[in-house]
Amino acid sequence: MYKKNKLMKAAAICSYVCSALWMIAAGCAYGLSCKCYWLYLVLSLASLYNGFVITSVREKMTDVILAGKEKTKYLVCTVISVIDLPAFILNLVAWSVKTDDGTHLVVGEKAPVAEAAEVPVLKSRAFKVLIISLALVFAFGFIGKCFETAGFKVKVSDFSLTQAMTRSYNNGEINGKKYVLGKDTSYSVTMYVPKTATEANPAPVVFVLPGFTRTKATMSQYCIELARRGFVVFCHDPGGQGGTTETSTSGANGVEYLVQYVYNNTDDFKFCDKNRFGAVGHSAGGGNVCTLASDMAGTGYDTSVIKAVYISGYIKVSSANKYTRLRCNAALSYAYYDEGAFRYQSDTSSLEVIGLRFLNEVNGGTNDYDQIIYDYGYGDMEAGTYRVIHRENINHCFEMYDRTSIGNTIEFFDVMLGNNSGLDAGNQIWFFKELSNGLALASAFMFVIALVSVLVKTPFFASMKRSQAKVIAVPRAGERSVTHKVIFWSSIILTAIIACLDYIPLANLSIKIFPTGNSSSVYTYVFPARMINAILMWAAINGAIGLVVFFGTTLFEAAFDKFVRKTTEPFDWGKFKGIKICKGEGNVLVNTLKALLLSLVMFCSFYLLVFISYSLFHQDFRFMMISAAPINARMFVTAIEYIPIIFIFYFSNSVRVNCSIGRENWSEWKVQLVGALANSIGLGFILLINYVCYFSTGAPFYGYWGNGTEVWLYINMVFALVVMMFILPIFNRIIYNRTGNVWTGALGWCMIFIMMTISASVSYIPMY
Amino acid sequence: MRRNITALMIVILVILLAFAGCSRKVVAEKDIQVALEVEGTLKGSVTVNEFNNAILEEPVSAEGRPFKGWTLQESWDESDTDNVKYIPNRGLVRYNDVKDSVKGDSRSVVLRAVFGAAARKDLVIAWYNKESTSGLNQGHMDAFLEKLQAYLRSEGNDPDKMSIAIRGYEGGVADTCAAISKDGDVDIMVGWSSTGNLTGTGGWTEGKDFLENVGGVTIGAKARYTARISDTDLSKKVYAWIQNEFGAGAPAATPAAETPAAAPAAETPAAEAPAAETPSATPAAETPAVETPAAEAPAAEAPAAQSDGKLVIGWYAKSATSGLNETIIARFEEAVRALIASGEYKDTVREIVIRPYDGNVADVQTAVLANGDVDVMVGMKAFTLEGIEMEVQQNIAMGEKTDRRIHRISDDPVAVYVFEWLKTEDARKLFVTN
Repeated sequence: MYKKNKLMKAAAICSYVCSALWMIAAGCAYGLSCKCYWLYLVLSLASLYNGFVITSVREKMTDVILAGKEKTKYLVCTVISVIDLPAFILNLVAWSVKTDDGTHLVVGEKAPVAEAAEVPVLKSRAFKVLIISLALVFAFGFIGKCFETAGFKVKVSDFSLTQAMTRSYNNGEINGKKYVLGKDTSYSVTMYVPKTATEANPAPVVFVLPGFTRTKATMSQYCIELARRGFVVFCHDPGGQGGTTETSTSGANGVEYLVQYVYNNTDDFKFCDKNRFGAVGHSAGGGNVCTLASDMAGTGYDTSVIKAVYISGYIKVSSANKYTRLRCNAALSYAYYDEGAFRYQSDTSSLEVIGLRFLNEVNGGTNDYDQIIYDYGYGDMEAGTYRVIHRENINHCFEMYDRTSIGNTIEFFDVMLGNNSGLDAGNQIWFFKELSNGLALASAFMFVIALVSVLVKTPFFASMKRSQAKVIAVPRAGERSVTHKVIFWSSIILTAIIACLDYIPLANLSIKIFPTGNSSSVYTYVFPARMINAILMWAAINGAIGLVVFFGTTLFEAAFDKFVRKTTEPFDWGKFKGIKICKGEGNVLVNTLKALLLSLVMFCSFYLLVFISYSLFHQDFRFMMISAAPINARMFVTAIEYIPIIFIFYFSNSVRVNCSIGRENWSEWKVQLVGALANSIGLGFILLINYVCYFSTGAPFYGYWGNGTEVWLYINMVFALVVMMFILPIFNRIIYNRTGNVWTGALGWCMIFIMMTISASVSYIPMY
Repeated sequence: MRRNITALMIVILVILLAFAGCSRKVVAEKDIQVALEVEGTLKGSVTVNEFNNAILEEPVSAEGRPFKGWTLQESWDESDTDNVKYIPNRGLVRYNDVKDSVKGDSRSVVLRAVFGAAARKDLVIAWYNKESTSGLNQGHMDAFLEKLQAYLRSEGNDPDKMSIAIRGYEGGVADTCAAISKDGDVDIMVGWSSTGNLTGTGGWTEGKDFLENVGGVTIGAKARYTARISDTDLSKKVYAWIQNEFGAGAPAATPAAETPAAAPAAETPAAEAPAAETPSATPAAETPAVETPAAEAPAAEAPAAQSDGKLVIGWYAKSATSGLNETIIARFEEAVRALIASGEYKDTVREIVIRPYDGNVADVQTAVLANGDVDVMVGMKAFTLEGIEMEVQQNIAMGEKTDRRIHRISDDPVAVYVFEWLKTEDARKLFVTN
């Protein structure tokens, strides 16, 4: 019987794998607008349920020859498994096994776990992890600083550019124009000064500008690489983003004020060579530096304040109209797989047309190039007419992290601003800083978890926890009915499909519901984080759906057991226990407050680590688009608005992973993996659908939506969101295992993740 | 432990594969060779794929016929080229335009140039097909065409035998200007904005891309600009007629029924609707446009013709936010009326409306856009109107508030005049509670 059992198990696993493949095929078909996606979906579900039934038959099998109802079930399954060819073959082989090999398996039996002996808190594993993770946070912060300063050869510092500063250094107008901040607001600026830059040996200067929703830290790779080659670099947060309190996009999103201030300030920036100013920006930042260079162009290369401009990821016609006014050397780059290119598909706006304009409309004159050779330098750099166009093999949001793209930028400025550092453009170290920050982020998460583990062992918090035995025990260990499996997996698949399909419609809806917050030039106190409003809607709706599905399926299953199966076994009502704050040794109110306090401790400890790391090492926690950075008052108020509503999702997730998935009598790693996949696979499928369509047609599936609203930027957010949604259930589970309730983890992680999201986005709140 | 390491290895492998996949561009692309056929002769080929378009040079007809577009059709009726299905762009071919026509393994298609019958149209008038900005829609332009035809008849022309096109352009100013330049046959454009807008956002050069641009022309629901691009006699004549017929001082061009009804009745007291609204009260309009040869008296030289004769000032009636109240506004209105009555526009302005707007910012923006006639808005702070570039005065004390703004919405000279006056200390004092 052993052999047959193994064959059936293999067939079931094949069915599950095929189910996943059919589901991916359904996603691809949907992405290509092929109506056969329904067929793939049905095949996927059929494969999945085939796997359940085979597993069920296998678990109940007592003899190598199946009989009666079980035989019929398995026969039907074998026939259906034609859609999963490997499973079909395995089932046929299993049918051929008719002799008992004498080995019997007991399914679902587990060795009893020995009770761990209590150890003092200070000697516990959690405390050791706490200390180690704390040490790692600072160690990685220090390592990050080493890379950011190129081994302490570059001084990195922050300052705020205020209205008074722009006014006081406005005595020397730039080409007849004044650049004074209109309000008493400020821009948050980071300055990189290499030690080689001195009054005697002034260095060329590059102004670096991030794009929409990005902070200056997301452009640190450019800053690091330029600074270690001898450039003085300034990078600032644009209006409404990061630490900047200015809310408008005037002055080319602030960079004109900054350039004016540095250019006219003869007191503080003697180490800057004012005859060698350059600027680079990505996406909206690219448009801004183009505006900067044209506004400060003067009458010729000699009088142009900006001598070299690098426009990355921005090819709008309105920007192209400024090309003729540039009086400096210029580079244009546009990622080969830029998802935004679908918007520029006319004979006045496509990259090919804009690129030719870039090469032909030079310094007010007209060239007659009729084709573009990428990476080829046109014109004369001595006369400020040099032009080059790059297309790196990357997409829009990763272009600024692309080694080739960064290399092209470095090489451009190195030559155009006469720096000649001698360092090869391919010699880049920024990734190690990014990696250090990422490891610091992981260590900070580890610290928070270890802190909770330590705190729940203290008498104060220990009283809020019910005994582990009561929490984890599953009354119906081992075998689960097919009905339960069908309901369980159907609910997971259903919620994943809903999460996948409703994200973009809800993003579109968020624009209608929050119209003022969604206009870049209108400021509001009501949900002012324009891009996060899409997440807000998605989280609230899907969180609510998750709760309805959880309670609905529980009640349905209980009713099914009682009235249809007529089972005498007590239903697993214990799954609700994690939702209740237990009496423990105190009363419910006190324990509720303790649970809230613990959540607050989680958030505060995490934020404190971010704050200390930034203060000591100028390092926040980040890995590309996932980041946690100190927030200012504007962002703090913004976060407070979003936390209560998005909490619905975190609570829902905590309930489902702990009270549903966590009670399947699976090993812990499986609970966490299934929880993580269930929570993130819907978003993963958004990317699948979008990019299958994109790589097949050149236009993303989610480009425009509804009444012609541009939604492609919302897809860029999914890259970070999908990672966060993958780790969230794991974290929720870990905290639940330590506290015994679903609330603490949900609230604590909600506050942390919202803080992270807000600190890396844009908020149009009118707070100065 | 072994499982964890295996899982970790798999995750790392997947990530590495994903990154590696991103840096390979040959995987997903499917090149298509596009052969270009002009009047039966193969004129070359270009290659396109999902991520690369190809620029097409405009083909030239041996008979000098105008190029209409590229088509995938193999044959068509030369006398009925309007029914040929063109690819959307004339100077660009995209993968999505041709991918469905690829046949066999050759992965190639043929694009054929279609030429029209007439060498050039007698008159092409472009209109800005963005109603929220220009106040123009197809109904307005149909009525405009009828009037134009009547005018041409009165001039001894036969419009039925002439080739006249009234062509709408959609999109932003930059895009529409680029499209008009590309088409190259537009004589006159109506519904766009000031010269600064055409040269700034549109990227045009005055004297080269357009010859003149005059405001205060009300063909639809708003007073907008009209620009002359070509220098033909007919173009000059029609341009002058447009200003005489639809410019300020001309009879109201928009039928009463077409005027947006959004303006609240209470905003226009009966006393404010003077008899001067009767066309006969405007002397300039009494002179038929056709009697003034355009070449002799260019309308652009008559500044009075640029105003629509109506000054509408909106104010934000949400006192708690704007600081404005009825007392302040009554004082302000009195001062505005005195200013106009004693200033250079006393004969031009026929009506002054001071209109309250209540509700949240979005509501006000929608209402102002719907009304379409507001020249100046006072009391707002964050305030945008889609497609309209406004001049703003900020940080103005109004009532208890210190951070209010004044927005100039229209380019009407009277609006500019009042807006400049609002910069003076005397005007600013009107808004402060005392």
